[in-house]
Amino acid sequence: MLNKNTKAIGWAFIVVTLLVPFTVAAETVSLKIAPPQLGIGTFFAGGNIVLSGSLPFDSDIIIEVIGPQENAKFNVKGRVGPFWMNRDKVELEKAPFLYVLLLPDVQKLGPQLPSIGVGFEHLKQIITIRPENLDRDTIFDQFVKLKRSEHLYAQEKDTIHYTPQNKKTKSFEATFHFPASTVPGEYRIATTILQYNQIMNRSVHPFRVQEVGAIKSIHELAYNKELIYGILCVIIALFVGAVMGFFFGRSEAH
Amino acid sequence: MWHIYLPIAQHSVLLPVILGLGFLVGLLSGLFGVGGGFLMTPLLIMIGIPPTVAAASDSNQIVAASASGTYAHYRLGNVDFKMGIYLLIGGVLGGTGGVQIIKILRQLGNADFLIQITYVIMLGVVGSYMFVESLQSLRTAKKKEPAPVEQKKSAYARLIGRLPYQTRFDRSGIVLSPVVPLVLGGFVGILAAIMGVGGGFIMVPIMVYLLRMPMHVVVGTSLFQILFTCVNVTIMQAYSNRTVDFVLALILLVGSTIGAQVGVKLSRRLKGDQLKIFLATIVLIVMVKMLVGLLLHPHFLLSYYGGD
Repeated sequence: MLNKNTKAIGWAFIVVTLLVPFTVAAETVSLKIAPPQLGIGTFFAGGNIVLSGSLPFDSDIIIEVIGPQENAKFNVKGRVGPFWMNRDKVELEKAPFLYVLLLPDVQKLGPQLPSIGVGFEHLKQIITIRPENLDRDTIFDQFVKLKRSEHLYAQEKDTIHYTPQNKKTKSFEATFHFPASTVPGEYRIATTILQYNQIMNRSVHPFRVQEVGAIKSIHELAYNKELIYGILCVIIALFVGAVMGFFFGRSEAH
Repeated sequence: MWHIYLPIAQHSVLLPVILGLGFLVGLLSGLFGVGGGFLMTPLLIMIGIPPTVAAASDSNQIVAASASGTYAHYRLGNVDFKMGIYLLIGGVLGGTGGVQIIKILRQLGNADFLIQITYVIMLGVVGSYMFVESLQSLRTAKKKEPAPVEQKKSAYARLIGRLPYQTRFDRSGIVLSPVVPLVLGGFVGILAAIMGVGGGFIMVPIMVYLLRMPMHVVVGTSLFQILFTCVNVTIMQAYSNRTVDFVLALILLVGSTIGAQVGVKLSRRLKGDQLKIFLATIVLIVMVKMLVGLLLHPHFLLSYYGGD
């Protein structure tokens, strides 16, 4: 009897020992970001990054691309008599400059999004709108509408694609396009792994977008040596104006 | 390939679009002697440039366009430097006062409405008056010219005739007290500061109708005055607000200097009244667009706050 129990315990121990590493593996994801950072050069027109990795076969992954947080200030239009005009000013605190949610299968995951803590509804809860007397729902909806029009906010369906690797794991891949209006800064790529409607793991990966080359030099001059920059702008403008005037004058003479 | 990134606006734009906008505004500058700020700034905002960067960079490109235009008009003998300097002094003083007025208005609240309404009224009055007057002149010119009749001087003419220090402005061919261009320059400076533009589109009608200067001298002199105003604004904006985007200004000014030269050549083929009708039409179109914008339900209730 004791032997039987000992054997059973032994088998159970072996099974648990074998399963534990697998379970740990199931809760983590190795995310590969290519390229590892994005450079904004003179002819920047937006840029793609590829997000890939592997995860347990019976789980799903949600990816958020989150821009630098800022206190965004806006004019709010309202009607005064027959006219639509800027009537109030509103500030949205902790509003990310960019927020894009990449989803594998929206029909499967769609209803769960608010409870998972991702998506626009979740953002609405964490963003503070000041002054508080303004209609929170209307302001947030208009904010998202404006950002969507600039391709800075989106919830994109079926953008994460799975490929089975074996019976236990599958690989995933998603391509994200940073729009032309992307600003430099520290971005975050957040991954959430779901298994049987439960959050198994959540991790955040930093991602840097930075100016490079001539764009970086001009930006630094404008921000560090303002007066010299201003005078240079005028001198170059006068020079170009004079050269063009001279050029046209000569061509006229001929 | 055709995109270019603007380091201060932090925005990627299509190169041909910016070049085209520059050409269009330069053309107007060369044709009418206006800086074009009242057209360019809203157009840049429409393509996604932040309002403060649009206004400041526009000033920078107007430096080149007006320098090019002033040089071309100077070669044609169309710049009254003496009148231009008086208007400039008045404009700088008025502009400084206007900046203070706008500060007070913003503290009182609802300044934006006042600015937009001022725009609509000024553009409406100036555009309508120029249009009707030029149309009448063209019609009169087509008819047989009657024998000149000695006309009774208006109250305005009698008033400015009584002012002290009457001086001859040779290039314009008029005798006037310097007080008049100083006061009118100051008035335009105040309006320009409130409305956030160079003021060329107000200055040109004032030169034509209140200073009675010939149209071709008006264009060159207006460009001369705008050149110095915009040099001042560019340096101040770069130093105080860091809002001058040199890359944007450079692309705009390449387009605008070519446009300005084409405009100057075109202006020599057109009569003064024809020029005035074209300018009046553009002013009225901008006015109607602004009025419609104020009356129709906007697509977005939020807009980026440009700062005070």
